[in-house]
Amino acid sequence: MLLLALKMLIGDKTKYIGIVLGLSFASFIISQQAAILFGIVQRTFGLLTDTSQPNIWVTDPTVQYIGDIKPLKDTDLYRVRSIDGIKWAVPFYQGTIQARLRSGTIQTCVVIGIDDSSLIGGPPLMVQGTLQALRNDNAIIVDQVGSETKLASHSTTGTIPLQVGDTMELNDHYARVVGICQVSRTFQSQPVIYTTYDRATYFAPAQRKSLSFIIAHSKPDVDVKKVCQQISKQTGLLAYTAADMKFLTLKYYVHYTGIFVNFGVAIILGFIIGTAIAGQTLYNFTVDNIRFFAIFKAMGADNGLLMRMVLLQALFVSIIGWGIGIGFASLFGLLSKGTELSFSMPLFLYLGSAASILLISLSSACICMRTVRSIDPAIVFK
Amino acid sequence: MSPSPPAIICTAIHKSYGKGASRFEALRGVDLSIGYGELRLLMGPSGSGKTTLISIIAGILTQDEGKCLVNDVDINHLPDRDKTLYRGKNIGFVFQSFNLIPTITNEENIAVPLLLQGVQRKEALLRSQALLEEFGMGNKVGTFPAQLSGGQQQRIAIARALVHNPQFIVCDEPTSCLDHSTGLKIMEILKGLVVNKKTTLIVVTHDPRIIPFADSIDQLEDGRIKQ
Repeated sequence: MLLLALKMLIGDKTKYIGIVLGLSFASFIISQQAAILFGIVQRTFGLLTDTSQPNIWVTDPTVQYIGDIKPLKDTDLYRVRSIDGIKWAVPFYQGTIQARLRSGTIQTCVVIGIDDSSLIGGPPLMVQGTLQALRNDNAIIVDQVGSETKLASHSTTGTIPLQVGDTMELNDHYARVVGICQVSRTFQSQPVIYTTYDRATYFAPAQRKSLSFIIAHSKPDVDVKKVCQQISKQTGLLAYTAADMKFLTLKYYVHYTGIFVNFGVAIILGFIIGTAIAGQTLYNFTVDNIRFFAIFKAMGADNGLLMRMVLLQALFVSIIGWGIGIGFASLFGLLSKGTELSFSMPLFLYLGSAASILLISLSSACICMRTVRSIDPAIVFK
Repeated sequence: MSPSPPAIICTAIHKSYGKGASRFEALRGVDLSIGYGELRLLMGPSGSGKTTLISIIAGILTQDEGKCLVNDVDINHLPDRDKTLYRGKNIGFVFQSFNLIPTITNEENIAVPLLLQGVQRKEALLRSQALLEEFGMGNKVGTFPAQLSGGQQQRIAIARALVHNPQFIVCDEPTSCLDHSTGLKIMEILKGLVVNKKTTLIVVTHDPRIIPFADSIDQLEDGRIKQ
């Protein structure tokens, strides 16, 4: 009988396609919008993801997110190093600098300055050259996407990416590319340049204080949260674990930008439209077939079997609809790979969209089941 | 040889719909007795209570008063689940407008009562196909109801009603949607069931053409059987 339930559903092609399209649309919108939102979220703390060696970030107490630079005193580094439980602590610079390209155009870049001696805080993946090459004079490493787009030269023959060995001016200082790296895209999609801390402060416009963050690592077998508390207590600065720093950044974007509300509205709209189209069509399908359910009841089908038939129909369209929607969303992600569009679809988004689609169809199924349950088999003779 | 007891005995059946001023009394003390292997016609004008009576006999409506024993079982006083099981096993239905499911094949339509009783799909379809052959419609395997004429659809509906070998078949206006010759053919099939399989048939009809097929006729009027 369960197979017949599916055949009844698929046989009514107009309604079947209507239900599946409704659910596919909902699945696509929910997954795609959530994936873009998640991609944007990841970009907000991309630097934290890329800088994986430290487990403690020390900042000015008023810093609200990773891009909110409120420089520290150079001496703060020594104070942090003196805290019990700290294995190492190094300076970290982050700022924006104007780069003048060979073509003469000016491009704003994010400059990251990492510890001169240990090179801790470098890019997560080198595509060309080595991190050690930063020890050369005026050396910089640029990110691959930046080198191929905003830092590239454009001629009549096409685009020539910035390459190892090329030079540029950073705030009127000569710099030479010694490597190409891969990093997470920044929120503003600006090119990222890595150099040593001292050189970064030399390139940067003169400031009284230039230490953006102190990045540190706790000793093994020491509670990192307690070390953070200790740092805050003894230095008056604020120390975050890497995860807390990500959360702080995320919290800032949630509170102070409309991104989450905008995408949230789109996701909710997808859900509502999906419910309206698919739910309504599924209900109509059941109502149109109510006579057949009554016949089954008259012929000896109990309510349990009828419920299972409706539930199976709902589950079936859920799987098909979700599959098509998530398939198109994944295709969208594949096509947008390497573009400016942020798109990230981790497993939990697949599960989340599946749960949403299931919720849409099961809630419709519940209403349908109520209708089927209350059928009077006597209508078969009417 | 003593006569066999009746298959269906209904005594003082009352049934009404609605409440207060809108209350309508469909049956007003109906007494009825139908023997095994009998083709009984229930005739009468619209609103006389024919459909209500067969619904009570088939166990899909419960009478307000009176008693209805089908095969010695007071079906309407069984718990819901038992009543459903009893109906599924012992009663077949033929409807005026066939009520075939349009999106499944003819043999699947016929197999529905078997599938509801838990018969394996393969076995149920084999039995359905055999019945299609028996009804001279072997070439209709794999086709859908919409591809059949009215008479052929009613034959599928009859095959569905008897595929599980029920003791009783209730038919609601089985010939009203059919032309004269097709209607007669359908009645020949139904009569054949009575003669060959000793199935008890209760047929509600307005159609006087089928009177010659009946073993007996009850005429209902205003909720009572006219003597």
